[in-house]
Amino acid sequence: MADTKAAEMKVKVVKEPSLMTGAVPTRDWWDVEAIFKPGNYCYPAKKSIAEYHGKNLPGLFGEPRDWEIESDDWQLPENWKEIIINGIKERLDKFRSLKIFMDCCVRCGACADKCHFFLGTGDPKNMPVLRAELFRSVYRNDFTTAGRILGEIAGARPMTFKVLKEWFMYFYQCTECRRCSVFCPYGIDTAEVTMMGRELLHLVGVNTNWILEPAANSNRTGNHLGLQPHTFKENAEFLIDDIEDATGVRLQNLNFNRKGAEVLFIIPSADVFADPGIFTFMGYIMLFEHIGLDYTISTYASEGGNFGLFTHNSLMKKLNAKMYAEAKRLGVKWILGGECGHMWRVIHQYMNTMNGPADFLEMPKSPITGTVFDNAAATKMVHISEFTADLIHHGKLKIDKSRNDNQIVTFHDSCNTARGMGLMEEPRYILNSVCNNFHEMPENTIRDKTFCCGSGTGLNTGEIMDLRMRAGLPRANAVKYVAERHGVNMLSCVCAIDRATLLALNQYWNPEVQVCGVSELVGNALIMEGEKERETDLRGEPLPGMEG
Amino acid sequence: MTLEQFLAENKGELQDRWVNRVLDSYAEDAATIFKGEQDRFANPVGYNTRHTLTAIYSLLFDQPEVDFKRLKDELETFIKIRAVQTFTPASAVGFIYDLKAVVRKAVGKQRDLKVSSEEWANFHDTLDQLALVVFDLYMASRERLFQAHLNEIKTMNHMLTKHGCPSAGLADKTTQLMADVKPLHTQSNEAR
Repeated sequence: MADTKAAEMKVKVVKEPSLMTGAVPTRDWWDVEAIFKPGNYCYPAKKSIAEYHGKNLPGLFGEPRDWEIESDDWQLPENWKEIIINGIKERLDKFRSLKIFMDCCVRCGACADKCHFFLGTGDPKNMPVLRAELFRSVYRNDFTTAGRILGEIAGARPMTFKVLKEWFMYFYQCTECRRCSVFCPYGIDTAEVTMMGRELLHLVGVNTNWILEPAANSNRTGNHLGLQPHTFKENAEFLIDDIEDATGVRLQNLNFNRKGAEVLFIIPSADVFADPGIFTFMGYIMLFEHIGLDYTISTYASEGGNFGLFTHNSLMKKLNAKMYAEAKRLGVKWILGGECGHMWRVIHQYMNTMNGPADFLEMPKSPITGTVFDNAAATKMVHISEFTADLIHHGKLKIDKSRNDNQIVTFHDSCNTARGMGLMEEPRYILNSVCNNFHEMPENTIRDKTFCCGSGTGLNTGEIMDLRMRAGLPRANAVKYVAERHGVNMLSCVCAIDRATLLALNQYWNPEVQVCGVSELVGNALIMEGEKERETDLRGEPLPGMEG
Repeated sequence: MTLEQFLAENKGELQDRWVNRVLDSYAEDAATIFKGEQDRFANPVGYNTRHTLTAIYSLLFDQPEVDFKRLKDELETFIKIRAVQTFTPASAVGFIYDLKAVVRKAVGKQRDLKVSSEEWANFHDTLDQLALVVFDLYMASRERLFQAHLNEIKTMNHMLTKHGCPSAGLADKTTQLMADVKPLHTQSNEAR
């Protein structure tokens, strides 16, 4: 397809601002090289980790080696260009969506100013249209007649090391949040272009450690941190003491790997070891005790998060499959999932194609209310917010909202749950039921138009803290607005990566605003049977009126 | 007409020129969007730049005395933005000197306006004081950024890739993780 528009775009990019005035000399976008400096890239994977993945999934993770991103020699295999071009061909044949996304963009510009990376950095290559153009230009060169004949005039360019560097730079400045696709009149999912770009980079061994090591741990021991079963169990049990301190009630029902339980509960593993996820975990298990749910937690499927999503679809499939393997082994009826982000994206968008349908499980039915969750007919997996909202709707929870009166709460829609699975009303229903002070952020920053935390898709690593702050600016900017207008001091969310990364984001932009999971606020409000007079919340902070 | 009167009478135009000049520090295509989009949530960089610079201009030249406390409050978010973008420190805070250039050029075009050296000195002194405020804020922003980084390390998230398991972290004396790798007792002072 002839495509002169790309050449006409004449998009300019920053070379280097003048020291004094900040004025920027400009050039056409593809004349500008990606330059890696400390702080703008994630560290490459350790050789041992790449080897581990290569053994499990041969050929998908390139040649294991030690390499440096700032070097001009990435020690790529001799035929790396051929590997990439063959990889594109294979994917064009396999994924019809990719072929359509490559061909149907008319460069209308609707997406250009919708990306949080662009809004925070001002770098035109972070405009979704241009980020995809990094890929499309190579596609045109090798897979379209016009591109083969007309080359640059048709917006085509061959795969070179310079292009590879651009791919690595900008496919790792995309959190696959899909905000741009909400505004695309053709429904192009730029996230899937990024996913394909990352898969191709992995084929030639261009990777990041922050993604591959947790994925390796998850594959081997069941969770990102590599917590072994006894440690995972001990960490979770330790939180029972904290609940007892706060409520006077010692929970009896927490259990692991119990065959024959009705429900398998799967969480993001950060909820058993990282602040503030641990308070969310306390909320979960208090809720289950409160309603007498027959549940168990697996120490192998001890991670909902699926870093495979950020690497290659085969690894995503494998990590997703272990959850279902555990459900089968334990003989549960259905699966309940905690407050996780990309676990739900994978479940909602890819699970059924990869590992489904989960016919060996039953249609999820709440044993307390009798509600049948037929929306989960294929995956047999229900979100904790759906489950909790249903309990509240049927009046099954004893709640004292006033215990959260010190919290002036807003809600951050996580990209994966809001845009990836349409979960928008349930968390709000819960928040309005357990808090007296809930305020929405502005309409164009929430629900399906939510701004990403800026650190998803394995970008939540410390070495790119500056970049994360830039990318998170649009979200932080909206939080600041409600903090100033309504005195909001708590940013709630239903994603473990959010709980970790919004914390750092707020420490920089809005230090007065804390971060919590929705289930933590449920735990605060629950009136537990046999509880003492509650003086503190789950964090040990005094409840309203108990400050003295 | 004095320089003071000139700055008051041409306020809107000078503010606009200053804002546009500062937004030109971004790439051309980004600058076009940052200048055009009015929604403060759809365009945080553009909005904060315009809002802050116009407010600063008023604080500097509308009152006989500059209220430095308010100046600092108005500047904070804007400086935080500049401090994490890809500018060199000098480029990040160079917007102050852009105003000098904007005013000098505008004054030069007014043939009937004769600005005394004393008036220029006062004008430059005011902006030099602003520069010192901005320098403090820039450094505070960078320190806050590193503090956020440090806090993240303390909350164990870094353990994700450094060690295979918590016991391996315990064995690693160099990282001084002894306090961090114990399961956190959430009520303890250590966890607070």
